[in-house]
Amino acid sequence: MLYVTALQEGFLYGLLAIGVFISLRVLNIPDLTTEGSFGFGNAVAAATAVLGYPRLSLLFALLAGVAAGFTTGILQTKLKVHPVLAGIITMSGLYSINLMVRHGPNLAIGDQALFKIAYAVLGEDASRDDKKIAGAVLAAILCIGVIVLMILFFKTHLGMCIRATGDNPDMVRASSINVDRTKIIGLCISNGLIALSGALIAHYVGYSDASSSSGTLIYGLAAVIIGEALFSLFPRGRRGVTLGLVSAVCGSIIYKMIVTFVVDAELFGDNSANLMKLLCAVIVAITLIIPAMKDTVATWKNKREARRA
Amino acid sequence: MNTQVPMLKISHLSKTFGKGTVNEHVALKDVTLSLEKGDFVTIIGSNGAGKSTLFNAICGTYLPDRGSIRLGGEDITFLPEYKRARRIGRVFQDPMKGTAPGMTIEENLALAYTRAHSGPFAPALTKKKAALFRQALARFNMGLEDRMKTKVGLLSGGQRQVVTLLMCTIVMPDLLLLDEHTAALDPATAEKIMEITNDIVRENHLTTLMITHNMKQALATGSRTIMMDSGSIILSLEGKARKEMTMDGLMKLYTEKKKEEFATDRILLSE
Repeated sequence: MLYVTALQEGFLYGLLAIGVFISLRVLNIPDLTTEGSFGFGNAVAAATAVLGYPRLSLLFALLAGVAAGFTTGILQTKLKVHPVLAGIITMSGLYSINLMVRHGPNLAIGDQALFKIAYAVLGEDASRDDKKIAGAVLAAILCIGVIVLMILFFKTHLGMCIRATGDNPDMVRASSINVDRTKIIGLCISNGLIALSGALIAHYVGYSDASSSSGTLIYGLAAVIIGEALFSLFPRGRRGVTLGLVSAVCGSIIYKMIVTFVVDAELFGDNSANLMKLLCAVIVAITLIIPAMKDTVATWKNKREARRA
Repeated sequence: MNTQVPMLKISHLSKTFGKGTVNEHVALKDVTLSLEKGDFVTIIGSNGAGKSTLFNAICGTYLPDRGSIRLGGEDITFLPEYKRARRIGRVFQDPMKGTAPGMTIEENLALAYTRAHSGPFAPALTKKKAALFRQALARFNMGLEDRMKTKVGLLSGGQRQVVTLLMCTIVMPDLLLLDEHTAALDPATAEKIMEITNDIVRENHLTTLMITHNMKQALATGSRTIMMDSGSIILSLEGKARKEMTMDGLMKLYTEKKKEEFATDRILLSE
């Protein structure tokens, strides 16, 4: 059952992974707004749900993320701030805003949490395990729905323009596409999904918390990279956005599974749960180092053989 | 369109980079040029003559300091780059510049095609469009029509230039700009691309400007040849004079013009 929970969390954080994938791989922009927009969605969803609008809270969270992405996008394009700095500026600003939205460091949603409402449908006598399975199914439906929407979107004219912007901005500038506009729209979508992920997590745990967003950026990166490593069996020429979106979510699920396994098996003793972020950083670092290591090994082999001849 | 209005009319265009600094460089000096619909003009000149700056000004990469550019009667001097791109097709020397490497051939073509045809949420690629692109590529006899789902990044330079050329002309532009688009290719491929270019321009009666360093190509292609130096047009050849012009003759003309300029420089300096 632990792994069913991991699956559910994997899907919920999968939207975060999709968001990071869109900015990192499709737009080719290092966007550091992530932790800010995740927290913004998280806080806005909780605040709206507490007021008695649990379903609407998802929509508001999405819009909050879009606004965050829009801010970063305007800073980057029209105001020509370096992309990394633009993201950091928005993220820092959002930290204070999130505290204000929550009226403090944390805010409990209570009975208005969407997952609680969904479990109620199962009836009074549903077992804990039934609820967990239902939660996982609900998360899967939401996540797969978003994936399908995104796949369709990237096949439209606008979606194609956004992909081209990340692929070759020179070419896009010389064609009739407004690069600033496509970048801003791309960042809005990316951060909107990240905020939606934050909102779902708030409903899942039942509260919004200032610490809920810390580590989400590295989590998103890890999910994207693990997914790519998994799908690297596909030939490079065939890998497109569709596969990328699916692989990001798979990466998210696998990462959650690894975490569950490490904690469950107490791989690192009592400290297992505390070491998660370090583990995450190490996984990302190793995956990023591999190409350079391969090169070094190849050069080394080459040299040795050249000397021998 | 009214035939009385020239397709492209450039009047007294000037551009100076780094004005007032030690690096001041006059890139364009009072350039005036007029092209009728269907004119194919080749541009020659040494490095730094202002050929590419002229193209950049036409496309809107830089705004000129003085002068105006009119396309089909409309003043486009200060129009944003992406807005005029709808009417201007441009092929660069670098085959990497004109296409998106991570997208397939048909996606690249769809991008170029839909920019004039559909709303933002219309599907970019339909079966009908894919068939149209296949057909358009097939006539170049390069086997590209069988690789529609290949990423453009995996193609050779010549193949990428063909895709770029088709992207620029799949929706007919009012003006086609070719910026040494065969210079980075091997001789055989360059010739093939030039042949394809000539076919497309002739069939569609396209108004075209082509920069080249190949003097033979400059004289053999199109209907008029102009020579630029230090930001000005110093020579314009057409009709009989152009037909009779040889490469040696052109070189001689160039050195003479250069000498003249040098002589005036010397007078200035000696004063």
